[in-house]
Amino acid sequence: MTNKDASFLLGACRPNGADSHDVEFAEALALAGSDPELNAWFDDQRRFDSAIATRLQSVPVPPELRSRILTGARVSRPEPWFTARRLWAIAAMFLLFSGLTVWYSIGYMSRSGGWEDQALASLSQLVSGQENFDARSPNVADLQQWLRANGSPTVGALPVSLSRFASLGCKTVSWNGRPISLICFHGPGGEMVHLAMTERAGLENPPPMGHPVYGTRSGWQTAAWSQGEMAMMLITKAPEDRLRALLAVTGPAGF
Amino acid sequence: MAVPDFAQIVDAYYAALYRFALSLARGEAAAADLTQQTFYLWASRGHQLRDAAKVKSWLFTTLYREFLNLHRRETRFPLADLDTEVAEIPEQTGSIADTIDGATAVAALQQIDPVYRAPLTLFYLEEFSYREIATVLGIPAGTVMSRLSRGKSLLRKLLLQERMDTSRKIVPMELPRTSEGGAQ
Repeated sequence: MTNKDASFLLGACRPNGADSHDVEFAEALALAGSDPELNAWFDDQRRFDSAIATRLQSVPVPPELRSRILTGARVSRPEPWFTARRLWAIAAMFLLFSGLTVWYSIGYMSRSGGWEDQALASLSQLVSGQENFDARSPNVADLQQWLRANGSPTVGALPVSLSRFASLGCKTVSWNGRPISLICFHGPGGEMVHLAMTERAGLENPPPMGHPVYGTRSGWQTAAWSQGEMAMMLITKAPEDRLRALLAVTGPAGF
Repeated sequence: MAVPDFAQIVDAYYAALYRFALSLARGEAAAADLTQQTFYLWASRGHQLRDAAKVKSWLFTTLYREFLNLHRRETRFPLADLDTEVAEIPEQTGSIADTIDGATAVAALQQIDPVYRAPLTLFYLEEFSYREIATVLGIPAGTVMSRLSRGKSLLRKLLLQERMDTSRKIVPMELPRTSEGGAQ
C-alpha cells in the first residue's frame, strides 16, 4: 500500500475514532503510524474533519420545527379533483356507463356489508400509498373536528382503547353517495388500527348495537358494531386476539 | 430492541435530518418541509420496521429519496466526472476550518455538486461510516470513498478561496475625526 492509497482510504475514516478498529482501515492506519509524512497529513485531515463536523452540527434548527412535526401542523389537503381534464373524463365515463351504473348500483345496494367492503378497499389504497389522507394529525380530536367541519360522520366518544394511540390521519370516502370516515391510528405492537364510521340509518343490515361482530375480510381482521347513530368498524392486520383486547377495554367513552 | 415511540424518534433525529435537508435543499423552508415529510412517512410506514438500530438509516435514506423525487423533474443531476485521482498526499490545510462558522461551512457545502455534497454531509453531520453512507445513498462503498475524497478536496479549495476573498476585502480607511472648532 502506497501513501496515496492510504490517504484515499483514511479520507473515509471518521474523525471521532469510531473506525480505528475497522479492518478496512487497519493497514492504512498502520502505515500512518510509521510514515511521518502520511501521519502529518492524517493529523491535519482529522483536524479539518473535526472542525467541519463541529461547525455543521452547530447550524441552528428552526425553533418551531419540532412542535410542527409532533403536532402535525401541516395539514395536507387533497388536490382539487375538478381539473378540466378530469371533468372531461368524468363526463365521458358518465355518458358511456350511465345505464350500467344505475343497474349496478341497484344490485350493489341490495347486498349487505357493502359499506364495509368499500371502507376496506379504500383503506387498502390508503395504506399502500395510492391514496392520501384528507387531513393529518397525531391528535385524533383534531381529526374528529376536521371530519365534523366537512360534514363527515364521526362519533363524540371513540372506543377507550383508541384514545391511547396517536392518530395518523383521516379520509372520507363515498359509498353510494353515503360518506364513510376513516381514521388511522398507531396501534399496539407497531400494527396500525383503523376506524371506519358511517351513519347507521338506511343500512340494510347494520351491525348490532354495542356488540362487535368479528370477522376476516380481504386479509383484514374486523370488528363491526353500532354505537348511537353510527355503524362502526375497527380494522387491523394484527391477529384477532389483539383486536378483541382493544375492544375489551371499557370506560366512560367505551361503547 | 423495540422501536422507540414517535416523539422519541423525532427528538433523536429531527435536528440532524433538518441539517442534512438544508445541505440538499438550499433553503430553510424547503429543508423543514423535507424533514416533516420524512417524519410523516415514518408515521405512515415506519411501523413496518422492527429493528430499532435501523431507524436512523431509514430516516436519512427516506429523506434523501424524497429529495431526489421532489427534484427529479426540476434538476437533472449532472453525471459528475468522478475524479478519483488524488495527489500523492493532498495539501495540508486543516487550520482553515478553525476560522469559519457554521453558516460559512454550509454555504461552502452548498456550492459542491450534490453527488459529493450528500456523502460529505452525512460524514460530518451524523458521522456515518462509509458503509452506512453507502446504504443511505444506495451506492457502492468504494464510490462513497471516492466521493468523500473528492468532496473534501473541493470543500478545502472553496474554504481557502473564501478566506482569500475575505482577506482581500477593502476595508474603508477610518478618517481622523475633526470637529468644527478643532482641537482645544
